[in-house]
Amino acid sequence: MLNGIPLEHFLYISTALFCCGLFAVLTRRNAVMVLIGIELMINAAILNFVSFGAFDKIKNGGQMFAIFGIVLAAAGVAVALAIILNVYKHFKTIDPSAIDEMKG
Amino acid sequence: MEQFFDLIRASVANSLNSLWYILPEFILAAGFVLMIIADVFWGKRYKNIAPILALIVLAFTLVFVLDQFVLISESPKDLFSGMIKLDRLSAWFKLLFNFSSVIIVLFSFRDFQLRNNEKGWGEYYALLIAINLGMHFMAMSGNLLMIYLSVEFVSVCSYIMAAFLTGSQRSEESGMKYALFGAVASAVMLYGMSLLYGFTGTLDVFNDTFFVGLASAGILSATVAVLMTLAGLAFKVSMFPMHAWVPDVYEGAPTPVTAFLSVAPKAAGFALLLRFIASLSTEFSVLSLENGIAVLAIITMTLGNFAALWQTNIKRLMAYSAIGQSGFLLMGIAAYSLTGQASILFYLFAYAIANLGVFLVIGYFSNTFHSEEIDDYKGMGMKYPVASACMVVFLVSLVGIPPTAGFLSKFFIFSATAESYVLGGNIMLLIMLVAAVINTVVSLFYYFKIPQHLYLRKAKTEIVLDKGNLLFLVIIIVMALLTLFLGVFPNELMGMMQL
Repeated sequence: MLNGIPLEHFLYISTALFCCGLFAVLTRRNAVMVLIGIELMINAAILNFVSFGAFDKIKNGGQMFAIFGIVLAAAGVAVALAIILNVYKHFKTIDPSAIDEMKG
Repeated sequence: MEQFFDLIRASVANSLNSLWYILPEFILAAGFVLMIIADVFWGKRYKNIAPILALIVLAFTLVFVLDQFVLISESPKDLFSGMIKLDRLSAWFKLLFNFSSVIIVLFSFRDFQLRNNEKGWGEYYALLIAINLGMHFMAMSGNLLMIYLSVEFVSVCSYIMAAFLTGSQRSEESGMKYALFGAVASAVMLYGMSLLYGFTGTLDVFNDTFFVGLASAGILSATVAVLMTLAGLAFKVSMFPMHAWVPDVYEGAPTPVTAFLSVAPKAAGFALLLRFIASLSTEFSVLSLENGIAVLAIITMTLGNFAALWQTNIKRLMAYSAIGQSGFLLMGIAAYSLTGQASILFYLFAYAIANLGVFLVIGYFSNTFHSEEIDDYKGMGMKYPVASACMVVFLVSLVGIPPTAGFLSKFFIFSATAESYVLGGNIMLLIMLVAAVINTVVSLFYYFKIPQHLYLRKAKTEIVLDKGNLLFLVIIIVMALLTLFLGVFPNELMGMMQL
């Protein structure tokens, strides 16, 4: 129990978030939307870490991991957006399935 | 609150004592900052300052990595309260990373596309040093947090390197595919890690409570968590379900970057995989990863080797070959034993030398006639006799024919698998061995397509071509000699690698 809310509820929400993210990654035909899906998946994992971390008061591993996770997610997205911007300049589209110079 | 003071004091003392052992990483970090600053102030005036600085940083790192073999000669060290594990295995891996980084710095130094790139190349070399730092931590990490941080470190830097040629459509496309695929893989890995943390209550993968917690979690949920975590590592080593990015990225990225990606980050992924599997296979093993890894190894090598048969672009062919080689390495991991460990290390060294050699020859040819299609290699064996002869040596090593290092590395891995089949009696290992032998025969066909074009076909044109680059030629010859030397005298290296 965390402030009267059972742990399972946090896990339901994080599982739902993860599935939404995965759905967005698999179905969206826009690189930015795919990135948003990835962000949802990462946030689901962070929610998991924080809620499990409430039971690990001495080492606080979960809280620490959550902070690092947030920072790294931002770093990854920054790089991916820069690359997508460059792709848009050349291809005039950011649909990953439409960009296929290389095949085989 | 009082109770925490002792804990804090102990962990601060532990961290201070550990600092001395991560000297190579300090040098890499300082070198990275130094190179960025040097590029800002003097990058325009002295173009060669970045590669020269990179070589100096790598040389210092190499010296201190060698020094670590002495430091940890008695016992492996647990640093920063178990976050980092420094043992002989990680020191060997660090040696491999630095060796390949040195070769890549020299390779990029004369690469036509990188050299004539309009935005300069200062940050390219800085990123190379940063990736090296990340891989050092990958080889040493003993904690889920450290694994995630170092994998992301290496991935994010590799995305930028793959997309480095902003003028080239292919480089951009490969960078985008790499970044999107990698971000999904790492998100899945992060979710798996959060589940592992929930089941076990600890992030320390070598802690006993980690295994006990996992065993008590129930077989299904534990398997899901472990598989999700493995997805991120599978992405790094291009294992079967996460291999889809490899062909496009390897074809589109600048040739030195492809050479680097096919060797160093992959080796780092195998270092992590070795540790992760080792932490799960203790004596009270409930989860048998052996069979799972064996199946994935068979699929990976078959897929890579068969898809390579139809390729016309040499970088794409080498990408599928890299997937196939990953399959052979996974075989060593499935048959994990003490001989397995040494044979995996030897395989990685032999593979690194041969693969870097092949890419150097590709770079050498594309510098002279600007093509990466196998069709354009026709008749080049007579025009560039030394480079072509060395190419044949590297390919022979990749197939695994004596007297090259590749033959012995395949021999060691096969015999390690056979040995653990005899010891454990797992029929899956025998099937894997048979599949590996068939795959070796298949790989002969596509590897030998290249010498066939080089020597047995008539050249398309009779125009006189540029002479190749001398620096490349020297490195290529050295690598070829190394391949032959390790093939004839493997005992020295193998003896040192036994743990």
